[in-house]
Amino acid sequence: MKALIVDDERMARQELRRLLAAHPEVEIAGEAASGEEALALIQKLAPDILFLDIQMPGMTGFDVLDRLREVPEVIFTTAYDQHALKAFEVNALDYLLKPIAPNRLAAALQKVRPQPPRQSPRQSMEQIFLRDGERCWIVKTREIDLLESEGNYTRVFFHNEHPLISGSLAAFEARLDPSIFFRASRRHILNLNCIKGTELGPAGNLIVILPGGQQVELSRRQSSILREILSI
Amino acid sequence: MKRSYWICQAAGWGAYTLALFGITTAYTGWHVAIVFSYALFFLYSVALTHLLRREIRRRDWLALPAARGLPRMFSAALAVALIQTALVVILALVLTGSQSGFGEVRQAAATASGIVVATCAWTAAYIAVAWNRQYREARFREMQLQITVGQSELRALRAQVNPHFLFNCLNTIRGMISENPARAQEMVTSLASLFRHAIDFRGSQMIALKDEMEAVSEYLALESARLEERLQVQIAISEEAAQRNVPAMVVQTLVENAVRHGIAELPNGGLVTIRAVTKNQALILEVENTGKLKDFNPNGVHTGLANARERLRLLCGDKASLELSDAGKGLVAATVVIPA
Repeated sequence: MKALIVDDERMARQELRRLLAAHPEVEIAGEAASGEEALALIQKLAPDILFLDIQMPGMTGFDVLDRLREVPEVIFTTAYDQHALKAFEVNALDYLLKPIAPNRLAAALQKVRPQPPRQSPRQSMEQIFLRDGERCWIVKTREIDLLESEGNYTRVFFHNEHPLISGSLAAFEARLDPSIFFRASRRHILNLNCIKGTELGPAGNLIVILPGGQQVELSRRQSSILREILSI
Repeated sequence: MKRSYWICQAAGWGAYTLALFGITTAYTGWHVAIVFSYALFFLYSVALTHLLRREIRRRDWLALPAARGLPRMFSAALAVALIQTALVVILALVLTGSQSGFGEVRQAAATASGIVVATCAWTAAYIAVAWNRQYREARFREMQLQITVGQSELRALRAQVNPHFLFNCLNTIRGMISENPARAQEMVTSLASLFRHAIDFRGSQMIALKDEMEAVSEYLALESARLEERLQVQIAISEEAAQRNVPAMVVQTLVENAVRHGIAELPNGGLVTIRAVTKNQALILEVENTGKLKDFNPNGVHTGLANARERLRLLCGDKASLELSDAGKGLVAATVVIPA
């Protein structure tokens, strides 16, 4: 497992490196002392796992994740940050408190260790980082049902959440796998695997029904494309 | 206050003038000149005692201990009473001649003693009101100080026990134990001293700048171990300034703000400069850091800063000041001035 350590304090990186020595399966591919450096190294090294400090000058750990197209497994590290801790606890994100307790590190690594092969190996494991004010999520893209444009923001529907995330729908479209995500209309992108049913609209167009009960009306042109994809 | 003062002036001298007028007319009967001279008496009595009040305030006699203040104020009152009497007599002679009833010395003396009593009573009443107000204000300030101190003690403790600082510090020490054991030992000692200072600290106290700087140095030593070459420190404190007293924890608050909201926010770090000099007996203390004023997080800083400013005002008076300003050239400066 290739790991990247991101922390602005040299001593903190050193200490984590020392703690990781007890875990030979983790190969430390590099260290970054700032957000910028982290972005460059993530691009270059494509790590499987990030140990990410939150409070860094210039660019916080969250800012780093905001700029990633696709996020690896992340274990946040922080000395103390009430807001971040709340966000982590609510959304079951992995975090370690500094000074890091060796058994906590072991437990966190256990959780992110590569799982045994799945029944459908082709299922995408890609995940993205979403942040809405103080709340944040790391979401597997295949678990997103629907994205809805609201000007410069996009409402993202997944699980039972629908936070409003900064970024245009077009920007999200560029980040998502086009074989799974379908541009249904000017305002909507939907996950083809999440279509619960379809209805016929007044003009012979399709209305797609999603697991959360949302209905998305397609233009006639998009309707015929979708019919083709779903072969109905 | 201003309005009630004028009401009292008008009512007091009005009543006294009317009484005097009544007694006089009983002897002499009504006369335009007499009405006129009493109207004038009312006006210059108000004017003269108003001047007396201004003098008392200007010379700050109310602030003197009673044994020194009272003789001064009553001597001045006596002088005012004599001027009033002189004016009464002169006006009476000019306006009404012998009809005034002031022809006799006995009469003039009676009038004079009446005026002396009235003006001294005026002065006594004024002193009583002013002292009562001073007393209430002092009580109020003391209460305010207690509240502010309570808050700042809590905050200081929380700031020193600032969880982010504490846990980062412990993390650094944990790393230092294997990298540089001697340094790790020093850090533990620094942390202990800093906590001792925070626990012993009483916010109502003034402490010598050199003692405050000891705690500040421990704090800076710990932050240097964490931030390494990113934190540069310069200290220039004159011999004279080091002996001067400052409200406890004020310098510490400023330095902590400079590190936490200035240096720690900069990827390449910066310089914290602490300067203190005395100039015209006033202590001028400056904590300067690399950074921009707008980088300051309004929540954290301004409460700490506001509290420091409040304690400075309560302990050192209204003339003491604490200003945070953009010092140009990418520097932010907090300046404390404590007059002699």
